Amino acid sequence: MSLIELSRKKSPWVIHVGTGGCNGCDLEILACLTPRFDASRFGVMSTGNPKHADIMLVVGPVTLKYKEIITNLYNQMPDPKVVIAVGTCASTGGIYQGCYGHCGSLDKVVPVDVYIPGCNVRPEAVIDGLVLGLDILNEKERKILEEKKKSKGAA
Amino acid sequence: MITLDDPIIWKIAFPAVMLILAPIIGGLLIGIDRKLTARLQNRAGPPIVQPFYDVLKLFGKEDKIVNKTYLVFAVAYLLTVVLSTGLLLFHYDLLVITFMFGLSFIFLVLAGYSVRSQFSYVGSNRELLQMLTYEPILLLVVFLDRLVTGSFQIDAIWSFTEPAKTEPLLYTLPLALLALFLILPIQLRKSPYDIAEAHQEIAQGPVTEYTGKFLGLVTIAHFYEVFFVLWFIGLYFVQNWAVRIGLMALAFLFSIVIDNVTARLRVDQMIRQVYIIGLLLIIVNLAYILITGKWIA
Repeated sequence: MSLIELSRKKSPWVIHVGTGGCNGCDLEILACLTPRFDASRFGVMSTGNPKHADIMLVVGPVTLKYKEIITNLYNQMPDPKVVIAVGTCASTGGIYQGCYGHCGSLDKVVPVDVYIPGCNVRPEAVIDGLVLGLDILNEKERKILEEKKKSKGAA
Repeated sequence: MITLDDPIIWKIAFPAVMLILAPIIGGLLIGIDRKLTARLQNRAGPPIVQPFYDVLKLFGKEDKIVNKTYLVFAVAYLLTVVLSTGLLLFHYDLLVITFMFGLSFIFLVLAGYSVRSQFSYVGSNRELLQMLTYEPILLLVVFLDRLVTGSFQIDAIWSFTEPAKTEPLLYTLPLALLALFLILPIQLRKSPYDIAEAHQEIAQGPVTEYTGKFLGLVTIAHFYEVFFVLWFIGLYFVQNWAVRIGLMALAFLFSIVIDNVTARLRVDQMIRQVYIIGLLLIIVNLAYILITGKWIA
């Protein structure tokens, strides 16, 4: 494992997006940063800026109004990036399933890498999901590099 | 044969080594700061080498380039900070060092203005106001140094008055040092004066649009800044290494404690506080050295 891959695993910067849910999962994510759970011991830093983030935590059912915003945020994040759907609403639509005015679930809008089910999720589950996402970051970067090599070879 | 007393060691080899070590020391200090802050809040906190993980990670990320000017300003910011640190270590002119350090802030402000993001704009405006606040105080402190030592050269601090009787700056300029402590949070971008990078309101201020390795360069520049500011304070007791390092450690601890016990202030509050308290300290100190006759024309 190279030094950059190691440090990528050690310093995930997180952007936290609420797409119009009930705020239950938001509170649990904030609880992760408190002394009891302390996600920052894994190097997690919460930024409000998609351009600095590695991991996007999405909470709540994606409403139609929010569809454009969330694709915009996703496109602004630099590679390698991981999207984590937090809570049942973001994973499957939850109790809003089949309702008008929303997209169903997050994976219909942007590609999702990790699902954290639960209504609402436990902080332990959020930390578990974040740690799962760290391995995916390096896998994604390797895939991007391979594709670059292939496209260079083809050209 | 070169011995430890040889001037070449202290004039060339030591500053060169320190210039290379400066980002490592600065990064470790930021790591200690984060760990200590976490412990004060009863958290475990990230490891001490966390800032280096962050920088290395940023160098492995994609660069989303907004425009080329923005990138030039990031490099210029880093270079001017490194240059001012180098000038400080190689004992150049204090006035030039101060202006070079101010220039690095200017490049950051220009970087913020060169992109079309309202967060960058607001951040740059605030950064300019912060410069307006700390720069006069820093300059007046440098002028006081000149008044006491008789020269803007850093070497003069070692040998002012008579060669036999060298007195630390701390004994003649104690209040000027306090004024430096007052502007410390602005230079280190810490609470209560972290107005330009108020991440809860305006993302990251001027550096909002940087991604990948250019954000890494800006972070490395910040490592240098931490080292520069503390080394500048170390000049107040150059006669004894133990006291000198103790003084730097005291300034560092002071900034951490102040960062943890205060909330962010508004720009006008910052200007009022720093100008009133800072100028008062400097005027009292000026009166002291004029009355005791410790000044050199």
